[in-house]
Amino acid sequence: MFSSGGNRERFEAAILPNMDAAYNLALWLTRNDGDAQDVVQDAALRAFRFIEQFDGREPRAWFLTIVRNAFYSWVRKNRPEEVHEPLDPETHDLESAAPTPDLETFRNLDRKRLWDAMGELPLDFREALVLREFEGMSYREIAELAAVPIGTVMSRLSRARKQLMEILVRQRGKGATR
Amino acid sequence: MNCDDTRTLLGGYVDGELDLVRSMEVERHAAGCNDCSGQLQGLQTLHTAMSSPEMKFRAPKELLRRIDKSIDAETKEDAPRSTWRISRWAQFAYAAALVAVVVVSVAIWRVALSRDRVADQVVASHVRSLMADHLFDVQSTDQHTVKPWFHGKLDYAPPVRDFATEGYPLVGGRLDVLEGQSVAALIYQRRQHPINVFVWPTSDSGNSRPRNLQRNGYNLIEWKKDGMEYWLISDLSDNELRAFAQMLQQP
Repeated sequence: MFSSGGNRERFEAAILPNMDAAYNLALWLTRNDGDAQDVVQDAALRAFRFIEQFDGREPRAWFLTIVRNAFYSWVRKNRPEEVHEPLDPETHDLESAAPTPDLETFRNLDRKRLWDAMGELPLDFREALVLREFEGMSYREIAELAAVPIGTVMSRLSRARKQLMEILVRQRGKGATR
Repeated sequence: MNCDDTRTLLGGYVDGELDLVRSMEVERHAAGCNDCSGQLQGLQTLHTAMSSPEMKFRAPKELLRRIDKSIDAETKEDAPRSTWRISRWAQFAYAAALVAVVVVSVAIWRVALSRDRVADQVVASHVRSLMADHLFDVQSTDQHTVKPWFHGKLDYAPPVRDFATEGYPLVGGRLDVLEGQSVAALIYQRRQHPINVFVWPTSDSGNSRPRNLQRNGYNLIEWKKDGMEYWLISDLSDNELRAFAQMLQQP
C-alpha cells in the first residue's frame, strides 16, 4: 500500500538522472529515434517492475544494464541479422600496422561524420565505444554491464577504434554521407 | 617493450587503465618510436573528439511523458482488490483481538514509515530540481532577497541565512512540494555540489537530534528544531554535509 508510492519515487530517483544516457545508448545502437524510444520505454517498465530488487547503489550502471538487455531483446526480434558472433580475436590481426592516423580528420570530427562511421561497426564494437567514450565508464564497469571479461572489453575497444579510424579516413576520402 | 606489445596497450594507456609501470613503459617506447607515437596521437585525438559532450543525444521530452504514462498504467493494474468473505462474527473477533496490539505498533511503525516516505520524496525532489534546470525560482546569494520572496507563497517564513564566509554560500530558493504541501527549498553550494535544504513547520513541539540517511548515492540529514523540520540532501560527502548541518542548527 505505502510501498507503491515509495517505489515510484525510488524508480524516478534512479531513472530520471540517467534518461539521457539511456536514450543515447539506445539511439547509437538502434540508429533510429522511434526504435530507441521503444527500447528505453521497455527498459523503464522493466526497471520499475524490478525496483524493489535495486540496492540503491550505482543507478546508472543498473539502468543501463537493463537498457542494454532491452535493446538485445528488441534487436533479436526485429533485426536478427545484426546480431552475430563477435569476431574471433585470433583471426583479426590487431597487430598489423594500422593506416597512418589522420589527425586532422579526427580532430575536426563532427557528430554527423561519427554517426555515419559508427553505423558500419558491429554492435559489440559500437556498444563498447558508446560506454567508454560517451559515458566515460571504466573497463571494469563496461565488463560488468556487458557481462564479459575485462580482457574482452580491452580487445573490443582496440579493434573498434582501429576499425573506426579506418572508416573515418576512408569516408573522408570519398566525402560521402549516408 | 617492442612495438607489438606497445600497440596492444595503447588503448589502455589513453583510457588511463594501465598501472604506473606499464604506463611508463608505453611512454618510454613511444618516445623512441615514430610509428607507435603516431598511433598513440591518433588514438588520443580520436578519444578527445569522441568524448566531447556534443556527441551525445538527449532524451526527447515526449519519451519522458510516455514513460510516465506507462508507469501510471502499470501502478493502476497493481491496485489491490481484496475479496474477503469472512463471517461477520469472525470479523468482530479479529478486530477486538487485534486492536490493542495494533494501536501501539502502528504508532511506532508509522513514524518510521512516514520518515522513509519523506526521505524518498526528498530524493525525488532533489533529483527533479537538478534535472529540469529547475533548481531556482529565485536566484540570489542575498538572504534579504531570498527570504522575502517566499512571502505570500507560503503560510510560514522559512529561516534563511547565508554561510558564504564558512564556504557554504546561499545561491537561491525554490518552492517545492513534499507530503502534499508546499515547502521552501533553500539552495546552497559547496564547491560544485548543490545542497537542497527543505524546511517546513512541524506540529511536533520537541526537537529531535539529526539523523543521517543515505539514498541512491545521496547523503541526507534531517532534524526538528524550534517548530521546524529540516531535511538536507546533497551528493556532498557525509563529513561536509554534517558540518553544514551544524551551522544551520546554531541559533
